[in-house]
Amino acid sequence: MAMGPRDLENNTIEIARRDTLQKEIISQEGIENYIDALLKDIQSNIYQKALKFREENTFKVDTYEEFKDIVENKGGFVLAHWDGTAETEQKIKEETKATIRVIPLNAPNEEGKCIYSGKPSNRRVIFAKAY
Amino acid sequence: MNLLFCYILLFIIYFCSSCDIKIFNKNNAKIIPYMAKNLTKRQENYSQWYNELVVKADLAENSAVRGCMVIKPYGYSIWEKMQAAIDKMFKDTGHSNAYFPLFIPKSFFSKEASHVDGFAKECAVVTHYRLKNDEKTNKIIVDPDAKLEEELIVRPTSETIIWNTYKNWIQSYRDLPILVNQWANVVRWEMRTRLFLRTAEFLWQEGHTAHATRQEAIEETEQMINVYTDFAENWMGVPVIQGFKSENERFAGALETYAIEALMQDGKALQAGTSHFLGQNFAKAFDVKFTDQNGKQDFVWATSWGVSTRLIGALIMAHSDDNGLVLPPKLAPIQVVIVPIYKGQDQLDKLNEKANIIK
Repeated sequence: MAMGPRDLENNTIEIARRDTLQKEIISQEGIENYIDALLKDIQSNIYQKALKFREENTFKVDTYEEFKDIVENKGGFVLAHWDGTAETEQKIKEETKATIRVIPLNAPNEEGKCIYSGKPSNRRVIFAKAY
Repeated sequence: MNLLFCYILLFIIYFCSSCDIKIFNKNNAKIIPYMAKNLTKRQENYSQWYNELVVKADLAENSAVRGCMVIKPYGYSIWEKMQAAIDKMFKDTGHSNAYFPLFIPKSFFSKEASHVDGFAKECAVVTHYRLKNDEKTNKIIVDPDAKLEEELIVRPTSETIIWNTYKNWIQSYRDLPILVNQWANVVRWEMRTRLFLRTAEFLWQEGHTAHATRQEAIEETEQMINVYTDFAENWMGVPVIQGFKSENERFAGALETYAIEALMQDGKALQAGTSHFLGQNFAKAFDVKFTDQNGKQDFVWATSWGVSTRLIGALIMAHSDDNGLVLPPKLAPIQVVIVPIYKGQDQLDKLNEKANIIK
């Protein structure tokens, strides 16, 4: 918040929010409630922003070529079928540096073929390069 | 001059808002972290952007000890906010805090085979307990006469020392469950380290619970991954995906590892918390048995779960931008900054008076 001599005259104050970098001048009356609501809004906005980013960067792939392309060039979460073996996981890690981040708890059952071995799989797991 | 100074600050100041409000002045200019100037852009080099941001926002810095960081006051105050929120969640789910030793006798590690395999390569080992002055060189050396009979491992995680302790705490079903958490530092000798994300020493909490049944232990494991999910999403503002780890990525000694994974702005994943169902592995390794209501003896079921200062790295990478640090209000040490814009002391006094009323 920024306050200058003119704000003193007008009983106003300038608000700049860090997440969107938007600025506005508001009345000092009821500033407490305004800030309270603004903080809640910032909290929810940054969550929504991160969620949108994740959704835009989650990809379903069915071939190893596609898989390698996304891991190498785009990054993000890659949902792919995996045959459930440690060998396949290890091979994929060596070739692409991507590892299985999680086998999602609530993943729907879905018949498919492992992108690496072609063996049957009944659900997708999440691959990504990781910190 | 003052006017110009303040207008510039208006643009570069970092703010957030209502419970903790700071009025900006010359004295606190240095402690209020403002937007970092000349920060590398995320698009140019994400990794460098992160490294610079951590330092410019005054959160942490590298230390004289390779791989170990100094968490500076502003960074530490974020950790304290995180601790307070998480600790309350633990208490609300029936857990208590306790503290176990930093050192673990080497022999404890060999008792659970897969556990020692997983951690052996990154253990710091204490071999001596005394220094002395070398008369020939006049330098301080390790006293060869002060060699420990059994080496001590600086804890990389505390399952072994805790289960060795639980052996004495548990005799019957009446002693169960044990729902204990410890806030501590641990050491894992990492070769490639980065501030907050991977450091040789880090701060964390580790929960270690003991149960009479398999079912109860699994429920506890799931409850705690839900607690971490709640914290990540509703406090950190970081959406996460819950799942099981594959065998390769599982915690050394666990039957099942539940994890939450978050996606960072460069498209890389970051593990933000884990909760392990340990089965009876540690109870068997440390011979921890209990007598059930029917007088029958069985090994105790275990869980462990943890989050660390790594979460600060996740917080930074998930929300910050090319201007610098962006924190969720719930974890921001300073939420609102009031900047007086003035010419002369007279105006400043009036503005400060008003700012104090608002505050």
